[in-house]
Amino acid sequence: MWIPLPLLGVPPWLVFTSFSINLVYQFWIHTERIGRLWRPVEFVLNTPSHHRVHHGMDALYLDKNYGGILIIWDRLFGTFQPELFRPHYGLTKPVDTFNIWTLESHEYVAIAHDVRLATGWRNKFGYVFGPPGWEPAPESGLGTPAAADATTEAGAVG
Amino acid sequence: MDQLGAVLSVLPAPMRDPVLVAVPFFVLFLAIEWTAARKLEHLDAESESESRFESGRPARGSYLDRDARASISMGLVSVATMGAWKFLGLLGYAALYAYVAPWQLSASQWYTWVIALVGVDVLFYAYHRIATGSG
Repeated sequence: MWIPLPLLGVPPWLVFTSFSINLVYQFWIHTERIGRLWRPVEFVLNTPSHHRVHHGMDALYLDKNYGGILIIWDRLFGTFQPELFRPHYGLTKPVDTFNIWTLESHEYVAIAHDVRLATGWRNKFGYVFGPPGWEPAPESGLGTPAAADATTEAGAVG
Repeated sequence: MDQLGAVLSVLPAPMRDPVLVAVPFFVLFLAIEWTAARKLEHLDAESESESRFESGRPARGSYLDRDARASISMGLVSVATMGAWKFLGLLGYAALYAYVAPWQLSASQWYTWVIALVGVDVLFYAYHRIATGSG
């Protein structure tokens, strides 16, 4: 995952320390208790407001705000979305369980189910490697993301 | 704090993880937020009823016990599996650093830390997006 960094000569232990610092930073952005901060802060850093959007299941909020410490990556690469209303958390297709084994495995089971039923290698491939909510297109053969149908990690640990 | 220091001193210096030091603060802030959610619940109930959101949602910032318990359990499992992957990763990265990298940056130089922190952040963005999004 971090292969480019040791290749650039960054000591391996420093890579893990940096990742830990990154995760420690992300602790405080997982809250609904902090509203919006000073504008320059919201522009550069990942904030509770930005990160609530990341965990939202609303169509507007899916696949947005992936940043760790800095939000500028999302601004640069087109995945930024400001918080316009209070997000709804959870999955677009709720799992309806608190069993951690089911929570961990159900998406893989669902993918395997889709792959088994899919006809043709192209469609089987699409379910495994396509974006969330991918479905075979009836005629053109090109898959398009069905955003409202997608599952995200909203509400999960990550 | 002495006990924490003793635990950390068992590990070689490069493996002393800052997350360990942060854990007491995680617990402290969770407690503050949980208390705030309970104290302020009635305030939220008032404002939510006027808002355009449907009723039946938990109050802003509140915890659902079963949900919190499931999340924490999954987090503990994740710590164990991540630990295994990190160990394998460390071996591979050490080999790349020692044998393939054209130079070795010194951890006592400030710019090494900048490269590490910014590099990890942009890679985190990329992998986070590949793992959960449309890539």
